[in-house]
Amino acid sequence: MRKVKRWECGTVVRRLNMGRGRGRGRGRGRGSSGQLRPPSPYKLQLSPSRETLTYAQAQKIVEVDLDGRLHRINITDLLPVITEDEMMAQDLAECNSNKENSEQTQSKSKSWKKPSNNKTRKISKNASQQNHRSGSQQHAGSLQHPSNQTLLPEPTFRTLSSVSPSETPPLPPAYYRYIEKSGEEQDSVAEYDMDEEDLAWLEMVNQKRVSDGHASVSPDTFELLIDRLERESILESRSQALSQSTVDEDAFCCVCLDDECLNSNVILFCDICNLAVHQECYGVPYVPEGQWLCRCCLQSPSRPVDCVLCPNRGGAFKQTSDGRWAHVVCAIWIPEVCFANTVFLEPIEGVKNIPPARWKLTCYLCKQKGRGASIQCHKANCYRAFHVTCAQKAGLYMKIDPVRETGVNGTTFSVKKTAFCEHHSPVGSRRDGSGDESVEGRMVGGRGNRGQRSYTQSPPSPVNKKAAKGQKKKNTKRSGSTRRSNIPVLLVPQIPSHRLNKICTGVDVLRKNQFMQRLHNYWLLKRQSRNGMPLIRRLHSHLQAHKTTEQREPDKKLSAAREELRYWQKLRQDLERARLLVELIRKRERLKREQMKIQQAALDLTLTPALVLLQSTLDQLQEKDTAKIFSQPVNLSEVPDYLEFISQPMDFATMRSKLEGHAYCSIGDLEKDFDLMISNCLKYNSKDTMFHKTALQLREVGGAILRHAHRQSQSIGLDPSTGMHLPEAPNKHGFYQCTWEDVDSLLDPDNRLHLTTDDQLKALLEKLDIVSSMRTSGGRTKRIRLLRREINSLRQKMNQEQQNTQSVNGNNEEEEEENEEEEEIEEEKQEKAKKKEKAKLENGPLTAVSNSGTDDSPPVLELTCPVSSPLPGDAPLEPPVLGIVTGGRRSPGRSYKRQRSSRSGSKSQGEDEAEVGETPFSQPEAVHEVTPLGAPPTLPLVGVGRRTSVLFKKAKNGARMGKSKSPPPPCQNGKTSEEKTNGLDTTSVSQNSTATLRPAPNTSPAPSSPSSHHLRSRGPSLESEIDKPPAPPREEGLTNGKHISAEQDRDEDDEDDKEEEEDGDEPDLTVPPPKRSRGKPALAKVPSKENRDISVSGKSTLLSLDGDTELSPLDLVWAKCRGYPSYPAMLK
Amino acid sequence: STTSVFVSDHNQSIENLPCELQRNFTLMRDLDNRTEEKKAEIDKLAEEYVANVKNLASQQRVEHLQKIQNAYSKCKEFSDDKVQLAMQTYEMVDKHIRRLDADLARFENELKEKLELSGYESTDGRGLKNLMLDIDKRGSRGRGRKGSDEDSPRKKKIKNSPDLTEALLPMQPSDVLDMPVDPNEPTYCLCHQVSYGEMIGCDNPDCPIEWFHFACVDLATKPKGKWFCPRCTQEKKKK
Repeated sequence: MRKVKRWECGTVVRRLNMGRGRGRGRGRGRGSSGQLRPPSPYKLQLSPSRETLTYAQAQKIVEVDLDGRLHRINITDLLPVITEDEMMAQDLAECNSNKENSEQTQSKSKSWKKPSNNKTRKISKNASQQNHRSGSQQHAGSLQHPSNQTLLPEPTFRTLSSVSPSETPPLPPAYYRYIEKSGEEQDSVAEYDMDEEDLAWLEMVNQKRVSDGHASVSPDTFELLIDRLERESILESRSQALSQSTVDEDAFCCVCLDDECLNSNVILFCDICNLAVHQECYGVPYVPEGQWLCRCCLQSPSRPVDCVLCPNRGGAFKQTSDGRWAHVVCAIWIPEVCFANTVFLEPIEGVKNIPPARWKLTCYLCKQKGRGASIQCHKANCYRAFHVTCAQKAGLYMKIDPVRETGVNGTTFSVKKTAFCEHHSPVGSRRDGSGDESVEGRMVGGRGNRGQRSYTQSPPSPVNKKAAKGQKKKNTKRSGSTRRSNIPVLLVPQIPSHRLNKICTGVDVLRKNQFMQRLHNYWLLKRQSRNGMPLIRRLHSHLQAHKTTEQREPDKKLSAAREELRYWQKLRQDLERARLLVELIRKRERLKREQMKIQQAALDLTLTPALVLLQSTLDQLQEKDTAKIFSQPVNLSEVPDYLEFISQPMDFATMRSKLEGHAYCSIGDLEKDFDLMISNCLKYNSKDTMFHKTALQLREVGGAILRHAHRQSQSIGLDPSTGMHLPEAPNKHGFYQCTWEDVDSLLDPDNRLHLTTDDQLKALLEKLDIVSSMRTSGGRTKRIRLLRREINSLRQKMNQEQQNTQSVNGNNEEEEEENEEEEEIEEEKQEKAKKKEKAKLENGPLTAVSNSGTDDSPPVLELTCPVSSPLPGDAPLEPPVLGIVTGGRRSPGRSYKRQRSSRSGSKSQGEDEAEVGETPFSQPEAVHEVTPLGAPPTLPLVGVGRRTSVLFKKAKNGARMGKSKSPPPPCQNGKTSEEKTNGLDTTSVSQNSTATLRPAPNTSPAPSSPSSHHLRSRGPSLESEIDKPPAPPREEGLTNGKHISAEQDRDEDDEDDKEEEEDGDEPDLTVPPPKRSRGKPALAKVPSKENRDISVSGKSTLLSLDGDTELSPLDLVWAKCRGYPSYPAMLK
Repeated sequence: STTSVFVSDHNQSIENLPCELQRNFTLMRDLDNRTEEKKAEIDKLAEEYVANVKNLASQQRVEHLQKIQNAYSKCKEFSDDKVQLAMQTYEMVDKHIRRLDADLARFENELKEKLELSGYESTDGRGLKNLMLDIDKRGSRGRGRKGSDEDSPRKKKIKNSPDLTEALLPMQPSDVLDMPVDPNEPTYCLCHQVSYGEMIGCDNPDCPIEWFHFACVDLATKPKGKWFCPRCTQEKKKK
């Protein structure tokens, strides 16, 4: 808030400064012409919206509202000054001389800029006269914006004699406000006004001076000097007062010396001398509003009064009936004296009644004889005399008790006053300190202390303190008269000569000292003649206020504490500042650090933009590889035969290192490696392995990413040789500026006949990217669908071509199937997209792949589950999460290698044995031979293992030779699934259905791989997959029941994941199961069975008995276990 | 006497403060210089790179870029050091301030006791309350608004008001509160204002704003446990 305020204040002030003197005309003129003038330069410069400004900037900006538009002007900017008359001049010029337009404009333009303030000021006087006319005369066209000429502007104006300023009517009183001058302002002005007396005196003095040959003193100087004298005297009297009364903080009444303060009897403070008295003790029945002055200050300001009854000064005075002064206390205690009015306690009467004997008593405290009247100790035989105030000062025992006397006349109330000398003080008070002989001792007591502070001794001879002793006798004789004669001198505080010098500094007078002396004397006399009243009233009352606050003189402790506190506070303040500073530094350094980071990023971008792009692309790609299958190079020790099939291994890590080694110059290079990686994977892994599927999926997703990167690199314009930006930005042919027509035309196969199928595919994919990145609409989804269909058909075609060229048997069908599948998937996808309305590019392929994955899943599950399950760490780590496609793959990441290794193991088992131990399932054969797990290997297992190993070898051989795989009994899968589903309907129908459905589509793609390598590699995996289902579960179930169950759980976990994947998408896949059987070699069944058994057997013999079903039972079990509430109705 | 003990106590520790500050600042300056040197080096390297990139083999490129990278990491190191130093310095000053505040409070208490002992019992706490209040205000972060007007007519008033505050408080509260306004004073909070009143710090160490006015984040009292500013809460949610 505060800041805001400040800000606004600033603007206001500035506006005032700018606008003042030029009157309203300016604003109007500008306003009217605003539309026609092009924006002035500063306007252009800063139109930053307020939000963009930092605080510091905002502080320096002035907001001006012109024509309803906000202009922000930096205060440091130079603004051209345009005065009223300039505009006027232009107006006139234009009116008068239209013919000489050319010249005119020049002069005009010159006149616009006017840096010199003086001139404008002068002119503005004129202008103000003409304000009215000019205001009315101005028309919009007359103004021109300041030209950019650098010539110094010259004012051009004309004085119009005919114009007379019209009287401005007085404004309503609300517009006028009296602003009191501040203290400083008043100090600089002489407030004193000479009167006739002064004039006369000054005249006299001047005559003398002139006759002496000096310059006369002007009345102004005189007034000034008098003023200063007054001020000085006030200061002086104040400081005197300070020294006089130190009675403030512990305020007590100086009459009764009591600090009791009741509501009915408060302690009042005099506003000048700070005297503190009880209402009752001083006779102030009502507390007055406003200031209150003691009698003394009221009637004899600045003149200390003396008590007729004692030699002490200070304290509460009242006047006597004969015009002299006496202490209230004295009047109370001296028996002969009384108050005329007992309510107001004034005036004091009976001074004359005091017997001479009392006058003659010598106060034993002040030892002054004959000054004032004394009282005596109350003790019967004690004749010690003391002044009342002296007694108070000394802290003697003085007590006033109300006494009720009952006499003949009735009851009367009176007071009994008792005062003792220090020797006879009652014990109680003595203890207070009065018992002590020494004065210091007495002071300890509260009252004694107070009393002492209350009074100061009046100088015996007021004229000259030094002479006091000598003159003592004289004074005592005629004390009254001396005092009276002294009064005038005391009236006014003496002003020391050095102060006098100070006063007259800056005043130019010849023979200064002499004059000052005379002036001072004159001033003193004048004050005296006025009974000491100050010559400037205001000053007096003004300073009183100060006094009240400043005069409280704390005692020494307090002042010390005060000093202490001040010191501390200063320290605190300084520290606060330091903290602020350090805080700022801290912020600065943080910003600098940020800046550094940004700088680095920026430099990276400028030096190696290609690298950055590649990197981000690679990152994205790798992100898609959620299973981390491709993140590291294939471990050749795990898969020794890898290089037999793959000549050029590739993976993300290698790619990254190549990238960092600047081996890639363009996205194309990256893409090459990416494709290589994918194709390697596809080549080595059989079709229905998870790796194969993942690779396909990745190809899909990665393709989109790479296409995007391509577009980006094109739009950025990268130089492939340097990896830096091209000097010129390429024309951005809008990637996104494609119309439906383009898409539609592309969709028509005839329109892309000229392209190769590859290109067509590319074009289609590109369009798909575009379309899917567009805003959703009916047209979009439709076209997406069409595009996908087209793409699929294209792919199909390509595949067919491939097949044809390779002339591999049976592949065709599978390819077709695959394509069909894909298509179906695509359609599903589209439906989804429709629903979701935001089919992102990546999603599409992902889902598609996942679908395909799910298709395969039942068979895959078997494979992968065992694969992953043996790794104890992996399986439990992954809780089944519904709908997460990637969930199941993580563990496979590892298992993938294992799997490979298992395959390799099948080829060279000896090497693999160690690994086999870890991953018994993935390499069933190995497991059985080596039986690293120990417990599970039962006889049948071993046997199976042997078989499998043989089988594998066979498979390999077969693969090498070509496609040797004979389709396994197709019925198996179908049967198993169906049977199982039937059996388990009640619990989990939907699962079953999905499970049953899936196997079919999967199997179909398996055989599609054309190359012999491919086949071979696939072989083992297929085997393993297929092996499991048919395995006779009973044996194992019997043998390893317990042991297996645990593992089974793990398996289930994995399966869960898979299932979830499946759940996510696609219940529609209805591809006949038999197809799948084709790809699976029957041989593999037995070993796989083993695995299966292990997993299944523990759960339910029933399932295992059903036997043939592979996954579905597991799924069901799992579903049961998880308590999945509902399953879609079973299909078939 | 007690007060002087405090002060002398404090003096000793605080006397070192300027030296330490200076030392830290010189260190920072030193680091800054080195950073600048590094930056110049980086600029040079970058220029070289741009000039020669066509002729460089990929290996050389990598090396060249690595050089730049190294220079940058050095720079970052320096920056981190600087930030660290600044935080240290801040802590140091802050520590002093906190100590001073505590001592001040102690001092006030003692003063109060002393006053009570020396016969000011009757004075009701107004003055002292004021005094304590002032100190509280000062103690709190930043500056509060100006305290209540102290110029209430004290004149003929009861002895209740013998204005201890004025005696004790040499500086009007406004003296402290009206510290010259630093145009560079950092701003905080969602409102981008300077600090005032009670502030709360976000517990996210990387919070860009760090301090918030209670009112701006709808707080009346200090919340228990960790507190995160609205922005950081959002960020967190996103994650």
